[in-house]
Amino acid sequence: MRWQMRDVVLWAAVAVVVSRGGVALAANPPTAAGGHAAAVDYDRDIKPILSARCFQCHGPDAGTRKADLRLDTQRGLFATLDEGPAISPGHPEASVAFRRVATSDLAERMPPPPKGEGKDQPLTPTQIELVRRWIAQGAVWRAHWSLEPIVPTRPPTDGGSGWSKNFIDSFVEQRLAREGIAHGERASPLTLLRRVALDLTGLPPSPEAVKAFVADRRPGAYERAVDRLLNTPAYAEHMTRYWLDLARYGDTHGLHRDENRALWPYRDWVINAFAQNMAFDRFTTLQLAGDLLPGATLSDRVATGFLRANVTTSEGGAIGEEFLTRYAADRAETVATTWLGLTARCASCHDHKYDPITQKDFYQLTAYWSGIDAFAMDENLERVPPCVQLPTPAQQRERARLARSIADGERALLRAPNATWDRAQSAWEARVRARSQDKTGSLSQTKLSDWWALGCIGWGSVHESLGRGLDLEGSSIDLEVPWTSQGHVFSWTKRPEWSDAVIVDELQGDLCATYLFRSIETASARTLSVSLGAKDGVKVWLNGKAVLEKLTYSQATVDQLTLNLELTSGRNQLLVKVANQSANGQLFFAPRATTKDDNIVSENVLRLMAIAPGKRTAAQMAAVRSYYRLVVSADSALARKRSQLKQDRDAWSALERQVPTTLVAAEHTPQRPVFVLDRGQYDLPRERVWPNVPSALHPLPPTAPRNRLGFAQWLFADDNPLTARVTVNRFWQQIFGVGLVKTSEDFGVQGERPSHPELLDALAYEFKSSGWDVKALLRLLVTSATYQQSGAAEASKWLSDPENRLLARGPRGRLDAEVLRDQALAVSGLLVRRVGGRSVKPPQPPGLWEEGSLPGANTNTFVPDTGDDVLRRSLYTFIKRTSPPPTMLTFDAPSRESCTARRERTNTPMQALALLNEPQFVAAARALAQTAHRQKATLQDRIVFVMQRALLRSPTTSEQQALEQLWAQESQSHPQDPLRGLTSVASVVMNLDEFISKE
Amino acid sequence: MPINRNTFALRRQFLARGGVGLGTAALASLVRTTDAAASTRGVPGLPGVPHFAPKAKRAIYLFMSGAPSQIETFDYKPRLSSLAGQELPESIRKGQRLTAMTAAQAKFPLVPSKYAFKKAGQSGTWVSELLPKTAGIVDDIAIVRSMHTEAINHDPAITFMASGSQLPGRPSLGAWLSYGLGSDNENLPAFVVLKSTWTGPKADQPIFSRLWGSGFLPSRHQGVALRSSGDPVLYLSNPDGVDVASRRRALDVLRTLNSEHYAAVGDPEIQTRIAQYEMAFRMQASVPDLCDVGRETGSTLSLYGPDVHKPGTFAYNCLLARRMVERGVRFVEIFHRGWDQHEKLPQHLPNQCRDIDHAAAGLIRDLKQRGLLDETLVVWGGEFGRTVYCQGKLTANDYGRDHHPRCFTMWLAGGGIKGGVHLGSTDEFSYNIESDPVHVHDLNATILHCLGIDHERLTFRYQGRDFRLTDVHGNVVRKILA
Repeated sequence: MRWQMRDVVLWAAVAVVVSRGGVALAANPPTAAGGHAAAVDYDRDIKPILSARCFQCHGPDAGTRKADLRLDTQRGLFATLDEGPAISPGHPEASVAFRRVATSDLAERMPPPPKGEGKDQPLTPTQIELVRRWIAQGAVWRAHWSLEPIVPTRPPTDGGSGWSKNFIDSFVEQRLAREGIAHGERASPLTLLRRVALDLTGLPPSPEAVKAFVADRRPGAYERAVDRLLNTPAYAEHMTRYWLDLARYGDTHGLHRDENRALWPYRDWVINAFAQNMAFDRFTTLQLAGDLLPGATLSDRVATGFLRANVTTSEGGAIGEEFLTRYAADRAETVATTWLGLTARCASCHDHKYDPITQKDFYQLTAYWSGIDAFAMDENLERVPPCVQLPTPAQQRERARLARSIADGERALLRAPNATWDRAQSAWEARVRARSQDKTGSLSQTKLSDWWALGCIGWGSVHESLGRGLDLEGSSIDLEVPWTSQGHVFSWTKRPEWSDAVIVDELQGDLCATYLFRSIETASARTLSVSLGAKDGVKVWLNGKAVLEKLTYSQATVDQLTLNLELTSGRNQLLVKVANQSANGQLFFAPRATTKDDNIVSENVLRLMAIAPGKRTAAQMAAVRSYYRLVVSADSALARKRSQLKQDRDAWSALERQVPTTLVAAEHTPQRPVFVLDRGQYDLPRERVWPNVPSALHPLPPTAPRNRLGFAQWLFADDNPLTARVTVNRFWQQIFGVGLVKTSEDFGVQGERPSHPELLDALAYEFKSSGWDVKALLRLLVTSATYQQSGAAEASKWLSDPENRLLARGPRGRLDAEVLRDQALAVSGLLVRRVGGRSVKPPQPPGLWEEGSLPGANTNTFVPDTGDDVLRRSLYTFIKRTSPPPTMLTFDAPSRESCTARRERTNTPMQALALLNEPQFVAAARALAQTAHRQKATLQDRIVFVMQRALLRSPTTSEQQALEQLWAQESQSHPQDPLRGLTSVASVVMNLDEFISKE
Repeated sequence: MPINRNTFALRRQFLARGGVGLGTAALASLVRTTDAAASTRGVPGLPGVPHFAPKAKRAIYLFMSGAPSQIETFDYKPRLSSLAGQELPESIRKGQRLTAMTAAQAKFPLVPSKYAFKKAGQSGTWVSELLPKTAGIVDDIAIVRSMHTEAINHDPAITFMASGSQLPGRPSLGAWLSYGLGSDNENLPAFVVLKSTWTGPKADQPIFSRLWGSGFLPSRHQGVALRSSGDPVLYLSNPDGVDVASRRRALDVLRTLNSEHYAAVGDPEIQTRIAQYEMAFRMQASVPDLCDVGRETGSTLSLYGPDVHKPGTFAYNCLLARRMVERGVRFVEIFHRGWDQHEKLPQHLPNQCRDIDHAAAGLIRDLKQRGLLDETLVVWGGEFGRTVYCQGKLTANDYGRDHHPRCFTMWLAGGGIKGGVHLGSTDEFSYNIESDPVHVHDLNATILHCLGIDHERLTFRYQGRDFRLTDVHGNVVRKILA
């Protein structure tokens, strides 16, 4: 195959920047000057160049590959082209690929300038020289580093300094020695205590913890303090908060109306898992496939809320198929980012440009997660099925009591023989028979025809089914006219078997609407009272006029709804539309006589009554009985029973609304087919695919089932190097601020390489060998000497390594949004420490929700909580995803609309305004001042108290002076407020950089 | 390690980590505290941006959320009146997808505009009688009647307009501009959002904070919503009882203590923090000054129409937008809701048009009279168009229109844009585009172009990819450029 210029004219421009940040991050960068140890490493030195400049046209994407040449595989690199080998080991000049990048002939040179404009960007001389040397050195090829097996390198031996506390330090020290940089001093004990408490629990150490730490004079006091912190509930809460960024947890659906969604029991499940130090493999398996485990418990199912946290919609007009594919893609992307560090979604429209994920791989990956939505539209429900309920023991008892009472009541009311009522029924039946033979009829007769049905007609959701409809709505119905919709023809069918006063549950079809029609004849105008029940949703028209519209989202029951029909004399047209979500739709319909002489007859029951009582089937007998009791009888004992039943049902409904519920995963049957989608378009399916893992990664374990459970097993298979590396790196990022791989979301070819590859592997190996013990890993990190270094450093270290990638000083940086608020509440003594439960709404400026919402949405109006709920940890703050808590956004918290592995950390004036003026921060400063005022007698002591509480240290002399002076000025200018001076002092302290950073 | 590399690294750090307001200026002041008084300089953007001399220094986006009907505003279709009530020919519809709202309709009756069109301006451009004031500025604006988009429902479509992607998570246009160009006034945010009241149905489409979010860009680039009640900027006001003098005293102490801490620790981020507190203090003066419209003359106010006296109206927000661009705010986006006329279009559309017509035209005139129009890009439009066929029941006086992504109308004016032109045409049903289609990515490429940015070169590396506002698409619409 000739490698021709014309084949590559579409070579696109790719940014040249390969490494970012101030320090050279490669573990052992080759020095261009040659001399010592200048071995060129393919994966470290060459592939980033190829990836950035060549893979667009010569990479994994078969769709855009030019000249049939691919440089991302070993085979492709060393393939023989028409002009010779692409790469000839040892012979740069004989390597066609090298000649083409090195040539000065513009017509020949690769990469070619992008079309149109003359932005020629050849490789730099340094890059060309690297490629030359690599080939000259034998062109040794190596797979991408993150896909290579984890090699447990023996840590280098201690340099003899005695600094090292565990193997982390050995690797760090070795690297520092190579750079000729000294490690930092150990931070002071209390600085360290504050740091480690903030890192492990997201809270400053409590005064008691400080006291215990100071009192512990034996060696190992720090390690013991770490153990105490790891065993607090606050640790589990803090770990959960990070995890929820990945899980894209929110309290609303996230799209369009963005109404409430019940998922907080999942959040509490995560807290509990961290609290009990659940092994990370089990932690993962339960979230991805807890429901598929043999003998899955309720708690195992709650864990799968991870898969249901994606944003969903119920926007009118949204196309279900399109959104189902989006939901599955979102899960595939989230799972790939969280466990594999791979950016899978890049392959949704075409093969991945850089990483070995084909478009087919991507859709195979989505196939694992495509079967768990019961419906495409969330219906704006708080409890979008599938869900599980988590009643408290008291709720369970109350529910059992009501269930018994309802069952008893139903039996007594509808089915059980009752001498009095049955006698009256016989008499009534006799009267009706007599009247039907008497051709003059009765003056007060109201006659209901049999039901006719049309449908069901699919509309995509209950909401839509009620809201939209055929033109027959509101018009006069002609039962002989069929209707067309979406290419189908629907005709009216008579359903004489559907009896009144009995729950009819034969309305077939999911997510669709069935129309029911009957005529009602009455001699003179009257009000007909009707007891109605309908599963999921119902709309009623009388003579073309809509008279009722109700979403029930529950089974149909007796007396669920009541309706008064204003009948005109003669023939009335009654049209009912029942919209149901799944299984069969249901309708209950029972007219009610108003007086003893009110003669109402339904054709369907009349027909049953014509059968002699002895010849009726059990069902027929029951139908006539319930008709008599619910429609005809005016017996007061019966009415009492009926009203008791209604009360019980109302109590049941009220209880149901209280019972905690959470969204879970469950496999939808039948399985939805998944296809490769052309350009990612839902309506352009290509070949069908089934669940499978990317072909370039390690294979599925032979015993693994082709479902979510098998996928989880694959994640933790022995030959999977990614899960352990990606996970330890993210924990490292949590503790040290920046991951060993800075791009913690991307371990692919375009991601950054690890700053300390051997350390990363040693940690990954350790994590695996420990049985995926998260606490042990965190303990290892925070007890390293590396972690315990002081965050202060001389100017040269800040200048040469601003992000601290070499780890020559301790981690230092601004605290996260949630930690800032929690810390302020904690040091001021306001924080309410209650773990778990429904999300809470601390106050926010009025109008923020209303400004953007749909009126009528249940998240339209923000109603702050009252009481101590507003003072709980920020983990519990309600997140409306289209309008998240404003201070959280200001401090870089994500909106939780998609998976976030790494937060940015910025500084803005908006943050200063929030810390100075937001009412809870203001209240915290005042509360701290109050406590200081109460507990200490002198100004000096009070200022010391504030500093100690906030920073675990006393003020320096100059700090003390400055704060006292501020106190004096403020007290003087505001004599009416005795706390004014001290509040200002506390506010300043709580805005110090030292306070809003971990030191 | 050579010093220039360190300097670069440190500069990078300021940009990436340190945030707004320092940049190179801060390098010089590493060993001394930042001069708080020097406040009028801007906030730098990316090195090398703008890529070429910009025509517009800033932009105002008038976003009509809900999607205005092109048929009653700018896309004049005289032949429709003779076809009223007839079925949309299948040769036009070609079985294309419809929303789930009308997909099930048995009939698709054509409905012409209830409103007359007139030729306006020297350019003789057809404009609806619902927009008389806009008709008065047609020679200053470029009307694009051949816009088209990919999404067919509001949430994805409005997200697509705002960020070039239907899925949440990408930076919005304003965030890209803040990231690329920085700001000309460090005492005001680079990207300000204004939400307006509206007269049409209140139960209209929601708007989301992602529409002005920063996506994966650093969050300092997110739009700041300026509010018409309470604090114009969240938490701008000092707590009760804290006056300017108190606040200044506290900030002085804070600065002294932070400086001491910086001396001990050495982290340049502390310097940034000091600067941010000072900037916050200055914002407490500059934002109220911005919002104080008391000194606007009567003749200026009258340009915007009677609503201008009511805070929160579109007219009031247009006036604020002008005051902002005067002060160097890079990007102002005004949201006006209520345009989703599925039903009762004749009842609501005239009100919606009345809300915005006078003020949008007034904004153009005001910018022009101040000589600001040449350097300010103004964009008007919604997230898609509306169907030529009726949604629901067509009666003599009532009709509605469903979503239509295949064509809609927007207009642009000011810096870089040729006035008095119209681009693109649709078929006689305003259903399919016949010439010069302009995709949303093309529009965004053009907006960036006017601001001196090559849309293919404004990128941000995230998840291993260089992301752009225009994904891998977009062509600058040169036919409307001045």
